Amino acid sequence: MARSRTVSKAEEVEMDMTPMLDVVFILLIFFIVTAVFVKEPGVDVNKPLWGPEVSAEKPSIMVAVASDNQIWINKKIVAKAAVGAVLEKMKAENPKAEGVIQGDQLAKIGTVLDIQDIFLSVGIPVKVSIERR
Amino acid sequence: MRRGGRHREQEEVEVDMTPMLDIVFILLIFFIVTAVFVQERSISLVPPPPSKNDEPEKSNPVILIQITDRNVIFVNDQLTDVRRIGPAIERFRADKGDSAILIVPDNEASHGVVITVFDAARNTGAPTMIQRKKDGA
Repeated sequence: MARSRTVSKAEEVEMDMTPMLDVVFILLIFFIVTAVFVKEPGVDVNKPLWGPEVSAEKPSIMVAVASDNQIWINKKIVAKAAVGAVLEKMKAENPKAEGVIQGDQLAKIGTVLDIQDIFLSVGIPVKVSIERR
Repeated sequence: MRRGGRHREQEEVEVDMTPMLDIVFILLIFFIVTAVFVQERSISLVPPPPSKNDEPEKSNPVILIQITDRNVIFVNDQLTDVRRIGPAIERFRADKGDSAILIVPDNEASHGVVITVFDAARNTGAPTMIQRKKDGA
């Protein structure tokens, strides 16, 4: 301590950046670890209304069923027969993925339940998105 | 520069951390900006796995809610308006005791109506399940 004080007096005042660097590194690592790149379906749906409060999920796989019954994954329209393969690939990328189906109010329940069955057969826990009334 | 060099010789070798700090800051800002915390309010439509403890509940008959392909709702075969489902369920439950509710929508029924019915049925406090209509049934 005594030595460094003599030096800074003689030369110039230098700040010790090490603690700040530590904090910045911890922040950096936190944001790298928590960075989940969510693939948005890319279509706006009118979600069904729901009365009571429900917990908000943080899904990483989102599948939308639009009002014309077309299935959107990752900003692309996917045929129902191809959904299983797409979900398999997404599960391989992120084994702990959780899915959410965004169904339009006018979408057919059969399509939504088909997608739910595909999710479950691939082994991804799935819920259905709603809007608070 | 010359002064710094002399200083280094006299004291000790110091690495200049400034460029690394710049890079770390840029990385940090990138990850802060790209961190999307998507929050989706969602409910589960998946029926709970059958357990063997549910046997006593089967003594009460279930209330069957059917939704046709034209979104017409029948509660125990009685035509019911979407806003009157709650009271209709309450009436059946008052008659027959605590029975569970089974929603059987047609595949062509709309998602919004089914969720509305599911909401109304859940609000009565009865255990509610959605079951797919079998093809041809």
